[in-house]
Amino acid sequence: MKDSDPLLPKLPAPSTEELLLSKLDVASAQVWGNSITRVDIEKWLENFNGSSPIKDNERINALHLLSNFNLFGIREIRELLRALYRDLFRYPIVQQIRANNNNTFDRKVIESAWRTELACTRFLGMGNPSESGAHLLYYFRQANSLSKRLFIHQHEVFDGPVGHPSSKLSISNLKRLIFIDDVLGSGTQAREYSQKFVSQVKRAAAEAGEDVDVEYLVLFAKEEGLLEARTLDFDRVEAVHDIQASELAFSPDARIYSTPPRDISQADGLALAEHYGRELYPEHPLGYKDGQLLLGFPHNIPDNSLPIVWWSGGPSNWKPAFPRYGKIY
Amino acid sequence: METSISPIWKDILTMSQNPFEITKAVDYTDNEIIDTFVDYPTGGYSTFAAPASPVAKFLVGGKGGGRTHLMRYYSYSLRKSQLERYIDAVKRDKYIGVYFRCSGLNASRFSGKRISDDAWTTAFNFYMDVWLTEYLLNTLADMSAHDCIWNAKQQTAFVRAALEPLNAAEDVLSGKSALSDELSIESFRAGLAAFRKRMDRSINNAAINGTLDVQILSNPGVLLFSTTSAAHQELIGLQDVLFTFLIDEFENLDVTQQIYINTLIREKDRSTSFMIGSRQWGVRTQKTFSAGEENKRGSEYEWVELEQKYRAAKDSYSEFCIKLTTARLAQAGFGDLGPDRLKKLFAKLPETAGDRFGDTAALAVLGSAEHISRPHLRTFHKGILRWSDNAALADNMIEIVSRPRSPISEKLALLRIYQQWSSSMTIDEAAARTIAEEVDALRDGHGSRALVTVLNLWKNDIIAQLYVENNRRPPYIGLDRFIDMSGYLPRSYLTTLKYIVQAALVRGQVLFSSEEPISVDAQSAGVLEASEWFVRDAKPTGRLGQDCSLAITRLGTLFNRVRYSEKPPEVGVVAFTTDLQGIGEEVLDVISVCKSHGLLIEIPSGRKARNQGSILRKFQLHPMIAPKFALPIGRRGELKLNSDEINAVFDPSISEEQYATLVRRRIAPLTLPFGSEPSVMSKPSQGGLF
Amino acid sequence: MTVDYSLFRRRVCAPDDLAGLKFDVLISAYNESERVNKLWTSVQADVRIWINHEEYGFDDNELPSAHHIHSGLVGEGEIQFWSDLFSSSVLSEVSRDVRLAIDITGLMRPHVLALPLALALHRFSNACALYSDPSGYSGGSGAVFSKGPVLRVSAVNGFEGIHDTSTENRDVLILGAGYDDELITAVAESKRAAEQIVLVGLPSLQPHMYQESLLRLHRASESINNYSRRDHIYAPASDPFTTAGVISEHITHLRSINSDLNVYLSPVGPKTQVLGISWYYLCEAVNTSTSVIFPYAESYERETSKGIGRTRIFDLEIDLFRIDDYL
Repeated sequence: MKDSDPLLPKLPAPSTEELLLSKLDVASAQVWGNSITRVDIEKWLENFNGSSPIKDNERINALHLLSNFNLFGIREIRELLRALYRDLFRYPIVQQIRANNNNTFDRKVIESAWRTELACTRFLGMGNPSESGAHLLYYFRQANSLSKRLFIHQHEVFDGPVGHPSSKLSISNLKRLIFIDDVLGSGTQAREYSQKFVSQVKRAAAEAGEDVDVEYLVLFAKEEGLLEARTLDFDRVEAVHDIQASELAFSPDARIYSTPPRDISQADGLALAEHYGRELYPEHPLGYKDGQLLLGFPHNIPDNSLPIVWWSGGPSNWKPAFPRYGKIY
Repeated sequence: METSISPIWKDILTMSQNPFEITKAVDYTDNEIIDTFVDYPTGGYSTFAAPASPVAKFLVGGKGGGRTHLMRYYSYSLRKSQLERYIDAVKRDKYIGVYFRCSGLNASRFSGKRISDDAWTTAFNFYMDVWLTEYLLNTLADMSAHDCIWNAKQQTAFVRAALEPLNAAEDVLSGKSALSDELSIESFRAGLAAFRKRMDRSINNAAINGTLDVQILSNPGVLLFSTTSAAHQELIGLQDVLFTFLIDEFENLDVTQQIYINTLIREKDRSTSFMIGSRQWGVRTQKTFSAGEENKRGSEYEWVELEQKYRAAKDSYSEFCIKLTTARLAQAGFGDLGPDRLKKLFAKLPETAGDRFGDTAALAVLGSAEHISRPHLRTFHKGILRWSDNAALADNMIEIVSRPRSPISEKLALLRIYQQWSSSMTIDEAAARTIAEEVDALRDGHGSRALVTVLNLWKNDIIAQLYVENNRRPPYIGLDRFIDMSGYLPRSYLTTLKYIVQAALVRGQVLFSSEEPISVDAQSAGVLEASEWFVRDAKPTGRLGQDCSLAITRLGTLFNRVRYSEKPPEVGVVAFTTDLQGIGEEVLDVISVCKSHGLLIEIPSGRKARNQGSILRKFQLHPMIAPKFALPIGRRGELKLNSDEINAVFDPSISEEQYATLVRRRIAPLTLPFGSEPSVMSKPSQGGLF
Repeated sequence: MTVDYSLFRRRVCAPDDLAGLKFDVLISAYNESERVNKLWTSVQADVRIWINHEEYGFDDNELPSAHHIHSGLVGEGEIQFWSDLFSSSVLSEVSRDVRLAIDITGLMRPHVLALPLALALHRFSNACALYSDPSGYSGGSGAVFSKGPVLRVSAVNGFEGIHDTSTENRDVLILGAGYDDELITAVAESKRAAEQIVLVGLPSLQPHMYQESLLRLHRASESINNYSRRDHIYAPASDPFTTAGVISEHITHLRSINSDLNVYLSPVGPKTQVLGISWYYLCEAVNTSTSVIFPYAESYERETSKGIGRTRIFDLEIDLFRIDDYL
């Protein structure tokens, strides 16, 4: 030993695995409401049976991915929905009111104008009422103390069947339709809704000589999804959180691999996620439309997240780390 | 089939499961303090910290030592409702405890802002008088409103008497209304509070205005003491009651501000007393403004260190901790457990019948690998080989020492062999055989008394070495160990339990069931976390804090290398002695700050007069820190450090290289081959050299 | 709430659009990060002033040349600092309705806190604050910020309250938390008796940062009284006005129960949060029993973030403040 080596105490250096498990202990206790214990983690790790190219390195690479998972709880989702309402929806309207009234600070003036605007607005979820959108709307309404009257189903917008050329808008004085959603991933679903529904709204409004703003406001959006959705018929598409490329697990400048722990690499993580992902969800091994997300909510884990984290059952009887209460289309 | 519980429900169930979640006094309401107060065994706290004593007291100690808990327990607001009339409670106690914390003064306001120090001192001194008087009046007004014992005439007389020595203060301070000549305690209180707030405004705005505009209405101490004497004289029932100011968090005042309080202590009258609560390092001076006099211990004040009191009655402290624990568990719904049941909640190391050596646990650590690949045997083999260059000798030595089913026998034998090797500077098969046989005899139940002693002494260190050699941290288990580790700080003890319970929870363990005690692994993990927390938490603020951190790391590392060497010089080394000769001021400061912040404990009995009267002082690494460096909790042996070594540890300007060199020099004699020359038997023939 | 904080104006500017921003005067605190320097070079301004904070420890030859540089010394009061800057030769001549932009990204937190007050005292009527997001912090939840030890926790000049001596109610401390757990610990320890409420940035600047900040908070949690995630309050990390609104709502509620409650605020999170606390204080808390306290450290890491995200622009409508209460 060279004299210039630092003199360290004789102590077992914690293994990478132990360090990651400790990080998960803290995350589970401090952030995830104790939703995962070491026993649960061990059950999940047993899924990885050494059949991937990285063989013996599977456990630590899996743990690394899990320890970087972002699981938002109910409190957080409520708060994000509050932010969506306050910052994405209400703020621009109030600023417009202010500007229209000589930059006033007069609360009475602003309050009364605001009430009018709100009354002309309706909120909807994207997708079928039994999907996560409905859950979200419930929390959204509660978190912002809004009246039930402001929430409608799609079929309530028209007086006839959606898509029928003679169906008219059935809500008088409608100025705004706001779609609320949790994740805007690839924009595929947005495209469907734009074609089938939003275009119809625009048509009916134009025929009635009215102007209806249709907006799509989400909690999390990938850049590609925003780009896609903004080419569609929506007047405005905004997210509380823009998910940058660095947030995706396997992008070139992925944040979680910028300074990984010893023995962990992005190449290994990718090999692991792809190998098992292909077994579980062959068309989308890294999440729906190459989602690569590490994101979860109390009501659901979006399928854009890595399947190895949420997949349940199937031929290999996969045990999830965080189960996704699946959509069946 | 997925059976995990939805995150929502897990959140609710487990969030409040840890009965040791709350570790601090501040989180208790007044009523909770009364309900959960555990008085000090054998006589109670009032034997050494009596609030009704006219002698001023400094209550000092570490964080979590119980000062605030005690002072709140003594305070008026906590004691008043014990009897129907507040005044009766006060008369029974013979004092009124006027409690406040110095952090509420925001004393840092009294500096800078381009105002002179002298102006600040004058302002602060009078502000302090006003503040203390205001707090006193808060209690008197409260008592008056509740008990309605003092009529208008008495109250007017009181206020007049209090303000009489001040110039024209009655108009400013008494709260007198334009409508009547009647004064009351409440109006005085309100008037004084309003005055104090005007002072606050001036003090705060000095940063913007550039001027300090405060009215000084009396000389230092006058307002305060005239109010206390007026209360004695005019308010019936208070004649024999002492006004004790319970001043907590004294460390928040700077030197000049503390000088003023010291002055009040010195100049106080018979109606007043003081009890000052402070961190060990927080009492900065005993100087006063009275002609430069200093207050003397035993004369103007008494100095009480709660931890020393606990330390002097170790069993009482243990009892105290157990009471705290059972109270918490009972409160959390885990029933009423006695000390024995309590201890059973924590798992022990695996044992089997008749296993005196602890081999069951040792074998569990070593696992199922080849017996001859045991690290301690490999080290021995390598050591013999290098020293003798004789492979056959090395193999034989292993044969002699080897006991596959009793690793502890091997370790014990090796320890004796290394000791002999070190003292004789050589070792041979005969000597090794003798030692191995002695150990066999011991294992069979008829060993010598001397060896029994050796085993009992060294067992803990031997087991710890086994763990570390096999790349694991040594275990820290058992309630007694957690109590010992706390260093007489109740809060540290509770924090350790908190982390242990947390570790058990993440391992999915059932809590507080004697059928499934908390595992060794969870206990050790919790202890390690508590140790890391203590080091972070005890670190002083300011520049010296970093120096202390470094020193503690160096000291811990040194002790660790000693414990895990082949031949530790003594058992359980977590302390060092030094005569402090040839040590510079800065280094002495670091040692002193480490001590005052509880990172080091000075052991009083370490003073031995040596030639020419240089005194040896002994310092122990705080036991809370021991687990971080895999050191034992209990203190036994010590290292004597010379001045170079003291500097290497405590002088931040010494580089890592220099430190490492000095330490290596120190542990060389403890490491194979203990400084002995290569064996004569094996030296190749040297013919022709001379 | 006496003020509706949602009425204050804020907008967002992408990095590519920075060149379209035009001001008369730009003030920024120098450090080596991309987000500070990119903004400096992109934005248009007639007069530019660098601030050099002694806490960063830059040598003269590390500072940019050929610009006005105003140095701030360790231990100097913040109000004094801004006063000196605003009455210095460069700025003393300019008219008070000049379009003034201050990039707060690199400023020391106490200086951000004092900025709106100083602007008001010096009668600037047309100022805005700029803050640029990083794209990540190097080191994740291990990132280190304050380099030197915390020297002392004290009330910030100009933000000292007039407190009450009633011992019936516990004081309240609202900790604006970020990544720096050592600062959080220092503040929590300085107000040991207070009920301690943690203000967490949610939405965070980036999605992963919320979780990371909770992991850092855990390191300080033993020092925080009765620490529980359930008691957290939330405000967007990027929005000072909403932050002010959330704090205002919370304190108003607390004071409706105890009118003479002593409240302490400590901004140890992102600069936007600091600005928000300042904003709240100056709109509502001057000469009340509210103080802002801060853990002054000796030195700071120069920069820990990577890249540049969006730049946020906050219009500081200072006319609302009750400045005369100070004088």
